Amino acid sequence: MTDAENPEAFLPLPSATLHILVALTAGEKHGYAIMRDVEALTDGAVRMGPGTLYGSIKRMLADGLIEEAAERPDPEPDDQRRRYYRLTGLGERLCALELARLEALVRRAGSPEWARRRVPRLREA
Amino acid sequence: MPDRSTTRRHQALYRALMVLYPRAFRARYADPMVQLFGDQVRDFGARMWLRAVPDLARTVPTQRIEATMAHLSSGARVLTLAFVVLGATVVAISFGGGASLVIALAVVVVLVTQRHHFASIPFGDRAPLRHAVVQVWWAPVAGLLGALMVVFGIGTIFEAQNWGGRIVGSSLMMAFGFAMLFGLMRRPFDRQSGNTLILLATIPPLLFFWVIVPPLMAIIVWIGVLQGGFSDDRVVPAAR
Repeated sequence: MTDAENPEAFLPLPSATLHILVALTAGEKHGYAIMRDVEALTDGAVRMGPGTLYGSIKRMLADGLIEEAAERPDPEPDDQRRRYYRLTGLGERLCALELARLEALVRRAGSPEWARRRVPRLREA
Repeated sequence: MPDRSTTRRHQALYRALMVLYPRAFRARYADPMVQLFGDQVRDFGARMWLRAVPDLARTVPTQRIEATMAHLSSGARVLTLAFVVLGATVVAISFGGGASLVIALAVVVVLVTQRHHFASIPFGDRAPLRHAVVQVWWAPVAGLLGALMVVFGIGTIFEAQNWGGRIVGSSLMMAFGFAMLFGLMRRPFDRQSGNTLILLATIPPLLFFWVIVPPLMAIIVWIGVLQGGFSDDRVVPAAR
């Protein structure tokens, strides 16, 4: 079975990959727009540099999670060197799966059953 | 916030640092990365360097390792590397000088790690070293012979008795060695010119007939070249 048929094989996603996928769920974007959206989504907690961003983009393109968009939805005067990216079907599925996995994790970590199993010093938290 | 010309200066400096990344990564992403960095400087000023420098320090090694691992996944490349290092070591030790050994190994390391600078320009985006090895049975022998001549040429700089030998002799030997390696890389793309370079490069080892091993290797190369056909239609290697 290929990775495209079995998106669970990608999970859990690296942090940068997940943030880029989430940023692209709002539509196709260029690198700087992705970076700004990731900062906004995380209240500035995640700040990617150009190398981190494009290193992740390189791997995501290779894995078929995103693709380069031919058209430029937001043309600007100095726009020639920009590349726009958008989610593929696999990227969308994977993003949804990873978010569901994290939601489940947060739900279980906050459940009363799990609270009883915490070590005493963490029960107050 | 910086004006346009200041932003351009920051971008120029950042672009210069792009050389740290592997060539393939740079070719694809340098422009958008520089553009992105310019946007950051335009919006937030020169303090973006405080983010860019740690980002470079973190991602350059990662990309370098990824690029190297991609190359090492080819068994043929590993074999080539092993032949070159073995040849260089043998020749350097035979000179008996620690300096020769260190220099020879350093040159080999530079040649191997930076091979794309030498190999990519005339041949498109193929993998010349891999094709050099997999194309025919005698290619590893020719590759070893070429590498030996290069290393021998380097050693001659230090070992020759006079400046003529040091400069002319070493230059000639290195030129023939590089011609052999160049011919090997050229051959899968243009058989006739590749074979011409390879056979011309066998002249020095054939001249040193009393050393036995190099002329034998040269004869093997001649047999291989002539057996496979000196010229042919343009050969296009299979895609990776």
